[in-house]
Amino acid sequence: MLRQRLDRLSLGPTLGVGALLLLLGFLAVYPLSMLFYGSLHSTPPGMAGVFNLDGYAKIFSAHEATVLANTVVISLIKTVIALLVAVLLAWIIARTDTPWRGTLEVLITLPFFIPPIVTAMSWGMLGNPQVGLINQAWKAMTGATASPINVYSYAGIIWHMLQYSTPFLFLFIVDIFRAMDPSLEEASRMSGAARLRTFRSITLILMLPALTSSFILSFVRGIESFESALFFGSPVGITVITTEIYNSINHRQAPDYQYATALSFSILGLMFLLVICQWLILRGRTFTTVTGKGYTPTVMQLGPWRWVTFAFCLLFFFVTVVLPVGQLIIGSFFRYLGFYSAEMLTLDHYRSVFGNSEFWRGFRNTMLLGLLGATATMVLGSIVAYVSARTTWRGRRLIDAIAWLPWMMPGMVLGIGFLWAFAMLPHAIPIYGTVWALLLAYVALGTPVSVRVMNGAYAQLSFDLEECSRVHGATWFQTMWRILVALAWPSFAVGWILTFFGIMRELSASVLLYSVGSEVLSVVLLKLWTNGAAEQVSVIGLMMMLLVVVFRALQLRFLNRQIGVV
Amino acid sequence: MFNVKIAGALLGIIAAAMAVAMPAQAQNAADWEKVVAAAKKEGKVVVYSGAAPASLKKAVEMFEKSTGITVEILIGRGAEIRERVRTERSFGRNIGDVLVNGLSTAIGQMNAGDTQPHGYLPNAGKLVPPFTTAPFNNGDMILPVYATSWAIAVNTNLVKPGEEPKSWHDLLDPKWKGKIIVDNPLSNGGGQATFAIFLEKFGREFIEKMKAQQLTFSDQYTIGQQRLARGEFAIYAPFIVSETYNLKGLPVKGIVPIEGKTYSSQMIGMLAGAPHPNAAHVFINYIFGDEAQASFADLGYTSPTGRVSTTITEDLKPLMYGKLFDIITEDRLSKAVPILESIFK
Repeated sequence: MLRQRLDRLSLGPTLGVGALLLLLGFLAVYPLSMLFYGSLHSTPPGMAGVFNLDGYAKIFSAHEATVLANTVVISLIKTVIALLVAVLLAWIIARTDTPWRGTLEVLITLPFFIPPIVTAMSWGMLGNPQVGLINQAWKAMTGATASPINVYSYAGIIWHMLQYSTPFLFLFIVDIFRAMDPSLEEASRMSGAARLRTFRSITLILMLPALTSSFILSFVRGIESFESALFFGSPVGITVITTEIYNSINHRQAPDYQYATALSFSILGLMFLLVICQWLILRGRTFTTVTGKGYTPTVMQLGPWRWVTFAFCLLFFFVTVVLPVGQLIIGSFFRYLGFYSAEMLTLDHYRSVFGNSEFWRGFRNTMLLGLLGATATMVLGSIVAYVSARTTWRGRRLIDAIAWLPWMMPGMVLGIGFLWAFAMLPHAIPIYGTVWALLLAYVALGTPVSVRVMNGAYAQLSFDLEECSRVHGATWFQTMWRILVALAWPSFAVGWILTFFGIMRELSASVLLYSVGSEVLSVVLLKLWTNGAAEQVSVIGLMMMLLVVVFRALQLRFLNRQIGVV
Repeated sequence: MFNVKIAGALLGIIAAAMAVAMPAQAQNAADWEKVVAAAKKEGKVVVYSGAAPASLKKAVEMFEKSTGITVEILIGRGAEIRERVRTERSFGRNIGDVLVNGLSTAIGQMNAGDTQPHGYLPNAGKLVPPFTTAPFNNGDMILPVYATSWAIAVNTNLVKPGEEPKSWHDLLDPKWKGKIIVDNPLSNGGGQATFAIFLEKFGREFIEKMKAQQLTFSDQYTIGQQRLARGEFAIYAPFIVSETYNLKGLPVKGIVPIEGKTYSSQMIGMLAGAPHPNAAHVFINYIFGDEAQASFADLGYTSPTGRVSTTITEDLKPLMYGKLFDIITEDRLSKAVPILESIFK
């Protein structure tokens, strides 16, 4: 009742939806429509050619069927494992009395923020079958002659992807666990249900929107994952959709954009079916766990088992961070990664990076774009999620769907879409060739994550909180600020960090849109990488990780003060 | 009267704009001074480059110092530079002045109309064979900056001196089965160019025998040579000889096969609609000057003007200046690629 009145009182739903549609249309639909044109036209925009379906026709071949099967199976296995581990880790951190949870939380999320090429280099050294350190150690310990690990395989690709997926999913899930009113679980326990049954029938069910959202986000991201397959699949002939697209753009005499975009749109169609499935699964259910009734977030007393959960978290950190990053830290002090002898000890890589004016310029630009981009993205994501989750405005589903679109298109293809779209704008609109092009692309690329994060947060907030605020005389803005913003703030902060570091790592669009003077860190990394300076790339990767530790520690300390539950 | 004034003003503006936008086309040495003066007035040149950034660094610094013209370099991978240039030209947003890209990509760009004639270059006469003819010399459109040559590299811990391959055919020796990493023959680049030459010179059977050696592919030469250096593989081919400098102290040795090294070149040209055509003109000319060419030679590249490095050590001269085998051209590559795909895919 009040909800409907709220909707009527808000600042013109039609106007609001219209403005959002315009903005999202420009950020997502416009570049995608350029790509769609590219998929149907024999030449890219701006060139004479004919409309045909040649790009789509090439998709129907035995080779493509293998590529599609590879991609789906790899992503599915990766997502299932990552989700299971992430739920377990999130539960341990948010709902148990495991020691040093605050510290563990920062450590668990670290792998997500390390540039994938850096960890790929490291795992190449650790897990290659010929001279990989892990295999060498195994052979030395057991006397075996065969190598148990080969990262250049399907398992290697999945393993490398897991290191990014698990912390990504953990970040999504942990705050949902934390914000959940334990009274429902307590009621279950008091009614005689065992812990496992309570977890299965209460906790998991309440988390269904967050879990299905996370699953789909992660599955889709798995399909679009590139670096793992490039490093560990391509050398042994394993091709996935993104490496196929990459090859068709970068490895042919003339880039085949029609095929690349047609392939991307076919995948987009498949992914959209997935999203529809999620809507069907969740339709008509409510998942409110934060209500106006007071509750104290409680943690489960695990007794001596808390050391087991502690060890599990530590093991995850050791395998995903200490092993690969340790290798890089050590390697960064030697002239070449992987060659450890006294005469090769050097600080040159650090001197080169810190003395490189391009690095500092890239760092400054990235910080600026990261701060502005992440903030703008989260504000936009919060608004879109609010309209989608908490209003009955006409057009809200469309807005939600449009906000998803950039997530479903592989980054390297979307980068081309932005290039075409911004270049085609009237010259009076000064976007192309300026820093605005980068900023707008970053906002478009980050919006799907920000909307998912905020949707998950809003879905858990009861409408009675807003109603209560309004009944007590608060204005709409006061209600938004004091209730929604205040309660959804932890998720906002997580989304901001995800978006910020997403911007920091983004390369596909950056390399096509940056202009001289607006180089960003990822372009500097590419420059160093193509110069063969892998050691300097590692140094920058380590600096980025250090930045994450600082950001996450500050964020958690702030949240701790705000809600006192970390 | 009013309209005449406006028309006059407009004509004036157009004439001034044309004077700025059109290069002062020098046809001889006497005109060259005018080009240089106009270039200095333009003040900067924007280079779109798909080449390894470090390769141009020293030449750019020396150019800036000697002319006072600022060089802004926008880097990207070959295909990214190609699409960016095409898009900007298609929508009238020309930002770049000079193109630097790999041979086959640059020729593709030239044929697509991405470049324009650069005009008279005082230093162009310094080019020496085989760089004076096609595919390197394309009239006054694009020219070779420096050539990259490819040989065979071995891990000296795994391959003893007596066992070293001496010919490209030695790669077919069964003892190297599973021990060779190659640049991906299905990707545009050194691996594909070299395998296309093998196909032409040694026949399809050679390629099929190579496949039977259970090759591992590398899509990035830096990764290929790192894996060789670490001892994951005994042989890496084709190996960019200039990379020898980046692998100093590691157990890697480059070997020139008796047939010679395969090679290709980075090309340079003036972009169509360049906003700073005179600065671009002067920059392109500078690239063929002795200073710039010496900087390329010092990095281990083959200078198309025949400059040799003064810093190179005697032991590396056979590798750096060894016999050249063949280069692949765009049309020959187009014929070879489908066959390579049918064998390797």
